[in-house]
Amino acid sequence: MSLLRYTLKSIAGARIRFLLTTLAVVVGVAFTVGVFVTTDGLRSTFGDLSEDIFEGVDLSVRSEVEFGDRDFGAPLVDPALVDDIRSVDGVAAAEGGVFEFNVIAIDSNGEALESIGPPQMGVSWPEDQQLSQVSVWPDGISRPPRGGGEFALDADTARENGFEVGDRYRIIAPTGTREFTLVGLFRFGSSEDATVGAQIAAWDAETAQQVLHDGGGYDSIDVRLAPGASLEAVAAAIGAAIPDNTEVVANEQLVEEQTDEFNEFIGFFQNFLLAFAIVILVVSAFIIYNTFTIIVGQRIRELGLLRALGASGRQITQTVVGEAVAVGLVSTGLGLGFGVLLALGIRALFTAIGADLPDTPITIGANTVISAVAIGVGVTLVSAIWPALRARRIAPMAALAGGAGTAADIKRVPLLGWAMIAAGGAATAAGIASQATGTTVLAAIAASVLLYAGGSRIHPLAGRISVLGLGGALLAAALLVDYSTGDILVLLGLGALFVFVGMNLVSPVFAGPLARFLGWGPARVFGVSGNLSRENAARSPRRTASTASALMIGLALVSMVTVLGQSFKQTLADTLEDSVSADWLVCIDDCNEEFAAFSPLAAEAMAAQPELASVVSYRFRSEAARTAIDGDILDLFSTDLATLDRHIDPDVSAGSLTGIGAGQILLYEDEADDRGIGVGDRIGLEFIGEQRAKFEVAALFADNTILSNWVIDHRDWDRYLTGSQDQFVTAVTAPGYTAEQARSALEAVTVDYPQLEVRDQAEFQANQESQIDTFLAVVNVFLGVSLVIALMGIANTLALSVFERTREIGLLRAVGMVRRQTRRMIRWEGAIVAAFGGIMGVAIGVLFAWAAVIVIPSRFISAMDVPWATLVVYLAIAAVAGLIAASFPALRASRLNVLEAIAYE
Amino acid sequence: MEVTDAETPAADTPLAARAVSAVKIYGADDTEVRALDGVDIGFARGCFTAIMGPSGSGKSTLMHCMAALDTLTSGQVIIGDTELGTLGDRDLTLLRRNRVGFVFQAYNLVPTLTAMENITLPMDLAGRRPDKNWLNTVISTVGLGDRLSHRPSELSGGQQQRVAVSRAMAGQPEIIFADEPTGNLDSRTGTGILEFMRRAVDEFGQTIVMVTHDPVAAAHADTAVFLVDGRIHGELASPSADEVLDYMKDLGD
Repeated sequence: MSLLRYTLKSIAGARIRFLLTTLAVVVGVAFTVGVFVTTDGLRSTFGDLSEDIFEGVDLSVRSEVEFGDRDFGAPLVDPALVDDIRSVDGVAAAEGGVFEFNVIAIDSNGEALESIGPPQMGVSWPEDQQLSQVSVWPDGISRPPRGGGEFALDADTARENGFEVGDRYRIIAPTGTREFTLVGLFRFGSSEDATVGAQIAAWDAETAQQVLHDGGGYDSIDVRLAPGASLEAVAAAIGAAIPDNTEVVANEQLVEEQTDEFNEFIGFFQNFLLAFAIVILVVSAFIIYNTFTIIVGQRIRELGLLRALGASGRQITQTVVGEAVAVGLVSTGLGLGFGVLLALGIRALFTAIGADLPDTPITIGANTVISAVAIGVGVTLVSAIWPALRARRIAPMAALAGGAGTAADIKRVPLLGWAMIAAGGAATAAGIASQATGTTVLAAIAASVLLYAGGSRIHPLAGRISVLGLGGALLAAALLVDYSTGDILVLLGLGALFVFVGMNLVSPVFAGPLARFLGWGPARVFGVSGNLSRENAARSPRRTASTASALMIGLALVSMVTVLGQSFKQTLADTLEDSVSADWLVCIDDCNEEFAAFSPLAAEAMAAQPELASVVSYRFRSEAARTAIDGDILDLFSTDLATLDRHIDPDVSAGSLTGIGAGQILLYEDEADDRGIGVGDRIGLEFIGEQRAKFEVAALFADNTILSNWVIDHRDWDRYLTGSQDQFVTAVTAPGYTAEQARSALEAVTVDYPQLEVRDQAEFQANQESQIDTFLAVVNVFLGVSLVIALMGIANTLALSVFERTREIGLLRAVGMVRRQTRRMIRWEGAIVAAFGGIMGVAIGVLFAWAAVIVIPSRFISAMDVPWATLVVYLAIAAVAGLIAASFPALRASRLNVLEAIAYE
Repeated sequence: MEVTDAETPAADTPLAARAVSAVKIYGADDTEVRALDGVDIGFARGCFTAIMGPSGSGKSTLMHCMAALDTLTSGQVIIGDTELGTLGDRDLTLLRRNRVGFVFQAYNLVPTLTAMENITLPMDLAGRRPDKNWLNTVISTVGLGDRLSHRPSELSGGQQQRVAVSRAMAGQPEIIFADEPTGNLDSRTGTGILEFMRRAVDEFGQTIVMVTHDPVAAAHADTAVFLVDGRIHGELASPSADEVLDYMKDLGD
């Protein structure tokens, strides 16, 4: 087909433009593919691991849990049940299994092993080898541990940290720190590296029970069937033999539960990364849209000629769409390739930080390919469709008239306009109300089209503002209506998208004046070349606005995250100043691991030191209980209520902490208000192991920054919940002792708990702030990719502009503009466009942050604190980056052949 | 005015610009085109010269090379006493900015600048303050009046070309090169521009070299020089339109 050939020729004629456009999509596709390939790999690895863990276990008996996480706080199984189960017909072997988290080995240098995320745990090594998850490492000297003085370690951890079989090591466990002889290394499941970064210590069953559960029961009793025995029959028989609060489950369910648990984490990881991929793709979409708009504008004469020669409007659209499809396909292909490279890079990164993944071959699933094509071609097509439709309306006269104007303005039909706006509003409402992602997305798109088209029939600006309004409505709905997290995220994403699109539509209105304002400096400093930068940036507001929009998105997100981070720091500083009266804070590493906990013996030992007047420990467990009345599941916090006020001031608003203790509860006032509970009321709670108890509300408090909403006493925690490890400890220096003496006293205890860090308030604050900074840095690096793409977009637009202004540049050169001035003119135009995008981005970012602060619970962020200086630095960086991005087009402009440029049509 | 022997010494020359054995070859070997084939020509100060010739005669090439927009394959171009062959891009640019003026067929104004800014553009690029009196003289002669603060898109073709001529003159260059300055204009407007250029020569002693193929335009010049196949074919002093037309007809034969 000749038209196709025409399309291909037009691509071949502008290779660099094609390349730059393609690049924007390639990065987005590559990122998405990289994420999918990596997470697919992780899923398959962890799926295998789940099967390995339970390979020899046919049935498992465990306590029944109706809510909460059974790994944390489920009641233990009575060891006496083992004999009952063994006597069931068809049972070949049954053995109690024990495991616990936060079991940390101390290496020969006295350092506690650290983990970047995977658990540090202890397990029991069953006598029955087939029931065992672990097997002896075939090094000739390893053997399973026997008796109270021996332990084994997974081979990976041992090798990486220099543990030698035969040496003695100290192990930190919930029951304290004790020394054992390392008698063997083992591997987990069948594959060599299958611990995937987890650090696992093992003891024989009896020792494990002592060390991990202080002699309590088992976590489960694992059963192997005799050959030929029926799974159902044996399960039923065991079910009849065990008490009501225990259950018997089959291997299949165990594997499935384990896989789900892993997948939940992988899914979180995947969504985190995909969010960045989406940002990159949205930015890319803006750039593609912009490029195609400019191209169609530049080719008006050419396309008009085609029309004059008899091409139909549809054929014109087809050539533009054809080019978009070509860009999309090439990008997808390249994106797939780079995506796989990226996945390999991520794997190398995992290995570098010590979480070896098994060498499964990199697999590119059908889903990955389908997503890549859908994204690559889809994003390009969606971005190009508007310019393509506009191309269709080019009149044949355009060929002769020299490309003045493409199409007449939309006719004003106010009545129809209002009707469409009403319909758009209805679609918006429907989208917000429907809690189904697909419907919401479609409704929002329909609403945007209706609002834009409708508004434009009333006033050209009305349509654009309506789209901005749609974005705002979606965001407001996400923030104010009480939806599930998933629905909120969909609404937030769509809202942000339409705010950005709306800004892109509205910003041409003020792009001219703002660009002139921003160009005042360069015009002042560089004279006529600076003035030309300024005028060029202002001459086509729509192009400047679109180019800047891509940068706006990235910078809006970076600014928002920065403002939130700063506000978070400020809240932390206020809390430490106002609410914390303890001198010392002790926790594991950076106090940021939700599940990191340590033996209560540490706090006991500290309390015994005379240098410390008071020591209090704190525990938290999510979904640890539910209310007896309406079954609401609660997170519980526990401390020593009687001495709490010497360490923390929770801002008691009703009742009193005097004489508070076991059987009483300290309740967050908003929670109390919601439930209509007051001081003196009694509340029934059911704990994760089905134990019930009534608590008297002793006081209400207003500051839940440190404490969570429901606070009980340690004595009740120990009574109703399994596992009594502490999460952090605070201490007050005793009168007459210096801070250094107190620190020494604390550190004397942490010799046995080297994973603990002792910090005073200032150190704690500095540590938390540096963690926030690290997190911000990570997020900003990811968002930085979108900024780089946006800068490529600026380079691309300027290259197209230079091409378009060839004759003008030729003239300037002819009448005496030296190359340096030419480069300066283009570069500063880039800087002005970038600064314009930066200002819009920072403004939107601060607005988004403001909205977020309203919704984020005050325990995390109580007030907005805007780091203006940082934001100004961001703006300056954006402008400088624009300057650099424009270097390439500037160089091209300065190298134009003057004569050819002047003669250029 | 006369076409002078190029051997005249450079110092104190009455010539504003000259070319010596100018050769310009495009392409190589089989496709070689000799656009200029040994042209010797000089342009006296205070004279208005028209360069004429059929398409492909080399007249535009000669002008581009003389105006420091293009370089010769061999030979010399000398503006005042500066030999262009030794200059790099920067010096050529500065020369164009400070010593040469241009008028193009397609006006070639910068669309983002006002008429006034376009006029002072070369001086602004040089960071030079324009001579106020001279600028006023030029502007009043051009007669743009209140259109000076307008952008090119708001001006008619004739007005734009008058801005372009003013720009060429504003910096008091040693020589102005005009490439078909009336090519895009109707005859009445074109005549206005030509009369304006004539006055610039007569009243202010400006040197102007104009490439044209329009005999009526050439009639405004002091001398018409005819180029054929890259060589100087002849010249007419104080030509009338009819004389030029006849000469052209003879060329055609």
